Amino acid sequence: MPRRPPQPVRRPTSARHGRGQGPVQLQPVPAGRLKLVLAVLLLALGGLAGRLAWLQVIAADGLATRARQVQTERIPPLGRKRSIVDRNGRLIALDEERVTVWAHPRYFRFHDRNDPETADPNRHRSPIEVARLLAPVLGVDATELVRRMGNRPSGIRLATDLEPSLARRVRELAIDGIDLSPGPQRLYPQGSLFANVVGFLNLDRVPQAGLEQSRDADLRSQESSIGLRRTADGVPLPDGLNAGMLYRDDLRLQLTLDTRLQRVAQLELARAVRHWHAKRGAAIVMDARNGELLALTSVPTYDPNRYWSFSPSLFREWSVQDLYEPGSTFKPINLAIGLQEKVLNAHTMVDDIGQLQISGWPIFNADRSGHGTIDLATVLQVSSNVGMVQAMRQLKPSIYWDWLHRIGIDEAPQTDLPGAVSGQLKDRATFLENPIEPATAAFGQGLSLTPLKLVQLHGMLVNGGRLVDPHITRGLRTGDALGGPRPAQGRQLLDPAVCRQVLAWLETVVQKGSGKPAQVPGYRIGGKTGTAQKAANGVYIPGARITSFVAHLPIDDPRYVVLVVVDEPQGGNAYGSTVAAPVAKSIIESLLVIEQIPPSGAASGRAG
Amino acid sequence: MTTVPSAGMARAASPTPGGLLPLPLSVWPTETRLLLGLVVTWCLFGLLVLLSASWWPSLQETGNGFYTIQRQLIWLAISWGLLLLVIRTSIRRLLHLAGPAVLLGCVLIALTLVVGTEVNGASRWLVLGPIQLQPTELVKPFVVLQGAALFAHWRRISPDQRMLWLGVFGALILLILKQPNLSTAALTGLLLWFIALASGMPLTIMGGVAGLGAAAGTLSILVNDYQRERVTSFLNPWKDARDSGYQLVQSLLAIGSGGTTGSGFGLSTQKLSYLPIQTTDFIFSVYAEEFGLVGSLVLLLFLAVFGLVGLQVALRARGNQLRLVAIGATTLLVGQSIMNIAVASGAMPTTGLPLPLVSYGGNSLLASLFTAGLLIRCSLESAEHSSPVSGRSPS
Repeated sequence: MPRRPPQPVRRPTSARHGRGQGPVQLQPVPAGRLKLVLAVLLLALGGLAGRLAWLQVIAADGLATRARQVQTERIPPLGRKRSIVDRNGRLIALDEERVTVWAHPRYFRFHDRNDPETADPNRHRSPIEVARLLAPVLGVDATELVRRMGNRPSGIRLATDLEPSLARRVRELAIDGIDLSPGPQRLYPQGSLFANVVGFLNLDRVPQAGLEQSRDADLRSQESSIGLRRTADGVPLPDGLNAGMLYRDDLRLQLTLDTRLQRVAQLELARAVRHWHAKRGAAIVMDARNGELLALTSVPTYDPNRYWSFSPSLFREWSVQDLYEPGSTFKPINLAIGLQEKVLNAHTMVDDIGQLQISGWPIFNADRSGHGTIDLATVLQVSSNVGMVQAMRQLKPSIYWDWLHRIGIDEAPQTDLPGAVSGQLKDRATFLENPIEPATAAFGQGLSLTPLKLVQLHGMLVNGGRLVDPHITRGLRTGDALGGPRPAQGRQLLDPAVCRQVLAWLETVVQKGSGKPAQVPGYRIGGKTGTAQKAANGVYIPGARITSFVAHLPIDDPRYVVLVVVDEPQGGNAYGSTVAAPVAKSIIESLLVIEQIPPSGAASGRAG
Repeated sequence: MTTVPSAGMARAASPTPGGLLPLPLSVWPTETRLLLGLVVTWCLFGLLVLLSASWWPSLQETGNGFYTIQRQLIWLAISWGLLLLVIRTSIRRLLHLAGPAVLLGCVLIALTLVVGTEVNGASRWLVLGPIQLQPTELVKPFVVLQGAALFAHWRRISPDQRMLWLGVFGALILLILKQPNLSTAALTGLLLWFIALASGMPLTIMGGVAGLGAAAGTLSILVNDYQRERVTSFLNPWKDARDSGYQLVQSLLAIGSGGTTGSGFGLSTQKLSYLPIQTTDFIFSVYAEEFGLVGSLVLLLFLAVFGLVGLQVALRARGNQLRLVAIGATTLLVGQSIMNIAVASGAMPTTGLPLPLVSYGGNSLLASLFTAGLLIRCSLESAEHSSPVSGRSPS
């Protein structure tokens, strides 16, 4: 079109305008030029058509995908963790939502409705302008906010752990370049009470100890990353939302522990540890029918909400992870083995001569005196070492070892408690060749186990011979639902009659033996004290003892085992009966109330 | 100017008494009726597109999703009143008004530089109570008229008159540039250039002016940082998609998301605050997302048809001034649409221009319907001229 020369149109006069007005000759506007102008416009329209065809056909998929990406907000899993509750639904650990505020000064923009002069929403804003808006909401001085932003263009953590309500107010300010990232924060409302069991998450939400670590997979909330289309102002669009996409599970991990009992146990234990200047202590209460632990506490412990101010050595539960020689508290187990093998019976008498020589090793009673010919109940009452050696000598060492192995001294108990370790038992050959080995084992030395294992073994006496798995979790429950107790379980190893016999002897220990401090009027309670020498690297440490008390109750309907262990109490009068038994008594009293155990009938107070 | 005679239209100056229209619609020639139909269609189309594009921002800013469309309807009514006024007024009388109007426009634009309110860093406004005046918009139809008056009888006008008006136009463009409103300045310049081209000015001169304009534009871009940034972000908007390239990137995403058939009326996602100024400069992107390539091509085809009808009016028009007014009005409406779509689709650097009769804004509506009125009036005047032949033959 443009190539056409306009010359031919240039005529001196217009033939068409016949009426030709005007003094000067009129040069008509050439039609060709008009067409030329329109041709240019049409050409431009054609070009646009090509451009749009390219955008909407060839580049369409790429652009549409890109647009989707811009419009879709991926909500990554927040890493929420499930709550932990005690057996009655009391919260032990929970997540609360907290918000972190991020600043990206290079994108600072906002729409100031109060100030039409500068209402331009595309104007870039300075950090101080943004800080002035944020300061009253965050409760931080504007100059402090500006200082935090410094000169960095983006990615500044302006505030952390913001309450969701405050975060909403920040969001309502609608400032470009201010991002909010919500995240959960783990809280332990009971403080140190369950720290030894539950453990904690560190600031990066990595589990560091306890159940948080061992049950990490179970505690992790079922979350999937959600792609949600939104408007640029953040309003979610219903487009592409499937049913259940926003589902959030409300499962909670229910424990078998009872907060009230746990608190009593910890208070009493802490008091004893403080009073006796002991190194540490542990208290365990187990329902022997199914192995549920009602309390598992240890001293010293730490506050998981402020874990950083405690020594990492506290982050483990020693009653589950550390071995000790149980001493006298092991004697009832031995007697049960003897009864089961029928080398002992209710009327067996032993000769306690006060001192024995076995393979050249001297064995004494704790009080270094002999008690003469006594029955087995008395052996337990006076905690006679010599009497125990005499009684267990009647069992062939091989059978004895097999029993120690069968009840699992040298294996870790089946438990959900993190880090449970196996005990130590001399290997079979050593045990058989050296008479001193069965002899020391008879009064609970020369072998070592964890307090938890000892509770399991005494549970066997209480529940009629079954080795139950001690555990602290009942499982995941939805919402406020609570699970009931697990049914009775465990491997039957001893005859119920054997267990009844041993419990009868143990009741006499509390009635008239070393267990007197644990007496609770109106209730029939069995128990055994323990005061053992501590060994390190095979050598007994002078003066270092570990005192313990294990209780069984109620004797008329045996169900609970209570074990209190206090490590290295100081003072000449520090024995199982003086240090551990009073703690056990306090725990038992609370247990009786909490579990609503009726007093024993008319039979109470009389020997079984 | 008053010495310039127009092709005599004495009868047209006296409207039919009583009616709104200068002539009963029934005696309008087909071409004029078609033109009116196109303008009405364009307005209705614009309302529908604006309804979809403005609903979300209106809801966000005022709580009333129809806020923008309600105001647009009021402005549309006023603008149609203006259109009716224009088609009842002879082009000759309008041409007489054009000179003073352009001069007044210059003064007002100069005033915006002193007391104007800035919006989006450009295009200044004069705020008179509840009414915001945008002199750069309002002056456009008068530029068409005055341009037509100037170039229709270029050879018969004294050199000092030529120089005077060329100087006024130059000053006008410079003032608009100073606002700074690069797009309107460019549009005004192009408009005058096209009118001059249509008038039959020698192609060598036209080429020379075009070359000068291009050189001046290039120089301006090289000198002004903000203009250079616009051009570089236009050449590669993805480079800084969150900052300088943001508008264009969002617009391209919207248009591309539309695909062939679009997402459907009202279902644009990009209009949900992703697109900036989605009711004015980037309203085409919303339309293209909702109606796809099919819709885009229909709109382009509509513009082509409008252009062809405009050309027909220009070709039939009696007298140079009428011809140039017709082609100028057509160029203004179609050309501004082309520039708006070109900007939205990334074929031109990002500059703010409304899409005539579609974008939100009273000033733009007034100017566009005034311009459309000029075209209809030209068509009518040609028809009246020929009516003794065509109109009376059946009787």
